[in-house]
Amino acid sequence: MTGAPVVFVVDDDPSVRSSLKFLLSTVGLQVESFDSADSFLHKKPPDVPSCLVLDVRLPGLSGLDFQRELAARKIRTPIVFLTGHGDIPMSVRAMKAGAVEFLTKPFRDQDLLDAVRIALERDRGRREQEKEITDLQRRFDSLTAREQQVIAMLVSGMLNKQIAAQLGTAESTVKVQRSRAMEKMHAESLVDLVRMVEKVQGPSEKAS
Amino acid sequence: MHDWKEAQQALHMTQAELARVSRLTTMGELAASIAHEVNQPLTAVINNSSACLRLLAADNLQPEVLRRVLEEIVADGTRASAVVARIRGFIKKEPAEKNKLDINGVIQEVLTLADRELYENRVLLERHLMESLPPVLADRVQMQQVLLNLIMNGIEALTPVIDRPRLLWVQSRVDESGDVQVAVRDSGTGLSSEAHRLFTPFFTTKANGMGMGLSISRSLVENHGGRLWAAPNSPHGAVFYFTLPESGGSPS
Repeated sequence: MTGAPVVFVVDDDPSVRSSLKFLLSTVGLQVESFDSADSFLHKKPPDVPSCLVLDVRLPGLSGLDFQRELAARKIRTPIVFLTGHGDIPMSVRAMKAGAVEFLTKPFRDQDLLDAVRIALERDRGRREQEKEITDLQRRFDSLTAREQQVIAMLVSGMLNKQIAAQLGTAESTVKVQRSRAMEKMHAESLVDLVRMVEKVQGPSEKAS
Repeated sequence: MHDWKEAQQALHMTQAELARVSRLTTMGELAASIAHEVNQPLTAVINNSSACLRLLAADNLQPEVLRRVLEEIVADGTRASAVVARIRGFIKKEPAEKNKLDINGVIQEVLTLADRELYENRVLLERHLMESLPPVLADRVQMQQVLLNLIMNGIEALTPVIDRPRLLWVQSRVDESGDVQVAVRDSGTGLSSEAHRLFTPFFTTKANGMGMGLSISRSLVENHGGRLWAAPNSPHGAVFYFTLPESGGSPS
């Protein structure tokens, strides 16, 4: 989680590529550069926060196609686009598809560094969120079937008594299952538990 | 007699003006690619210089790093100015300046300029340039314009093609009468039924064409004692030929 972030530079022009690498290195960033979208896709992404600095006009797969391809592969690395000419419709499309920034070459060094910083922060946040969800999912999966059932009923707003009646057990049994489940989920309160279950399963319908 | 001379003069002036306009139109078409070509090295220069300033401000600029980066800056500056030098020839508004020219060299220069257009329109290029062609006596810039015009036309005729390869051949050879002949051949949409009007000023089949390119190209070639004509290509497309007398021939 705390590994040093990496910036991936994809540009077909070797001069631009090496100058970007140099510029980003002055603020201590680690950079890996690629001459095409394909060569980036052949690489397995590292398990650290990262972002892409991408020329819109690439040979082979264009920048926007590349953005679409990444989305299709569920690779959510934030993208800072670079373009040779201020093409407004293109930049609108890129931004709508989730790009962090769209910079026209040549750009102010600070603008690029700011965009990269925002992109890396966004990726860090996303990775934390994803990690939280995987953790919760793992905890949820460790519950017994009955505990999951009880939790589902609790989340839908039912009382212990109602749950016991529906499952045909004693209220004390439900209480035990409930507290065991909350313990396994590391939930502090019922509200906390509801929030966790919603994160794993999406919002549930509330029983009225 | 006087009237005829005046009319002739007026015609020449109109033609010169139109040539300038078409040159600007061609420039407009190429502006995007040229801007890109110049912008790339400039971007690298600015990035590298900004990075050096940052390191300098942090008192962290190693001489070896500085040397390497300065070398890159020099190389990129040179690259940008080479692009400018290449296009300068197209902007100059000067009377024909005839020199001994290797037409293959001119072809290569123009193909370099059209490189992006070819690539972006997915056109496959084949060159068949005869080696050791005799030199021709011609104005380099005007020949570049003629060739560029024919190549851009070829690319435009190819862009609607989706069911077969988009092929463009550029050929040079010595023809039967000893003249240097250049052919630009495409597998595109071909000549329309109005092909006989191709060289008429303001005749165009393009949505946003002025209809001047071919007529100006023809007059430029004819001013060099050559000919420019079109023929259908088999099985698809069109071929445009022009000839130029070799420089050892009659005095011009």
